[in-house]
Amino acid sequence: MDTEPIWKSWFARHGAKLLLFARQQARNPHDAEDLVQEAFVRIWRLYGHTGEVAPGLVYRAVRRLAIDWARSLDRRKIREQKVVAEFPLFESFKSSIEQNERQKAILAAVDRLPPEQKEVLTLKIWGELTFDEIGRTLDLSLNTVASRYRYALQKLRDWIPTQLEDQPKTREESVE
Amino acid sequence: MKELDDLEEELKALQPKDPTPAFTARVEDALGDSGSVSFRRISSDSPKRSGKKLYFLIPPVLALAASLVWMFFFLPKQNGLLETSPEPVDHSSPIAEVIDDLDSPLHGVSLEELETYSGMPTEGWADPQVRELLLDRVDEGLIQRPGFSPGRQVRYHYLDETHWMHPASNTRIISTTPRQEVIILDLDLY
Repeated sequence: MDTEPIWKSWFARHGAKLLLFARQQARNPHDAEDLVQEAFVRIWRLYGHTGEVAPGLVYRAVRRLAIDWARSLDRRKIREQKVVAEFPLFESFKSSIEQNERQKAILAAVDRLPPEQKEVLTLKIWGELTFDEIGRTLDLSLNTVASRYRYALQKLRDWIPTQLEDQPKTREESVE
Repeated sequence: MKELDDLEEELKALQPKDPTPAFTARVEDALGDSGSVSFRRISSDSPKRSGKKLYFLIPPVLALAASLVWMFFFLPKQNGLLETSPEPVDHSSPIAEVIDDLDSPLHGVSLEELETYSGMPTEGWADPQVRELLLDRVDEGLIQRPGFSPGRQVRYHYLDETHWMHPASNTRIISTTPRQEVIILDLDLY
């Protein structure tokens, strides 16, 4: 019977989602990594001995750190906002040739969402948190979280080009 | 409503990129000792043994134990075997002849005697394999250290296993030694 540090399997399961969330908080892929590293290490040092850490704790730490960093580094924030145009949300996702165009359109629409709706959507869809967990992570009421999520979905439905919705989703079909 | 459900499903189908190995290695470095606080056991290829399968052994083992007790306490009395010997017992031990065999790992016991008494050869053993098993970890709470940041004291219970093998006779010996380690994790206050 061999052993493996629990954090590795935990990080393999949640690392991508955390990075995506941090990417939206930091608006810069490099700073997003720094945020995730800092938040994860802090939380794991506190609760890692229990063998399991609720992902919500790390999301919350990422968000708080991002706020702290943004407050303390105004100049850097300005630079980050310039960078965001160079790193669209699409870059943070695994892409496939078959779904490239549609994926781009969907993620471009997600990128257009107001930040407060986008973070709720990200935590719900990709973070797989419940509304209750999201509320505790973002310090929001359950109703606010639920309504932001619904508004986000409605906007996406309206924004995603209808012609793309009718497009075939597989490469074979699109070749034909 | 179905439109939104479909959209939700489509969004879920998009997968964010995994962290790069370089980033994971960076996190591992940053974690330091706290990365090895808790472990998960990875099951080997052999199927897991179920505890339930051993239940069938309980009745025969109990029966065997009862019969042994009966033999030791009742049979000797019936046969008079526990009667004290009329001859006085000489408790003075004779001076043992100490055998000095430099090749023997036990002082006073020759290799030949070791082989005879143990029934195992003394030559031809493979290098021992040592394995460390983490049995348990106990969080003993926060401790204050004068002049240092507070720390979390974690106690680990290990079992060190040493396997010896004699390929020619297909003899295996496993020795296990319990061990404890205490680690103090520095805590960042923020």
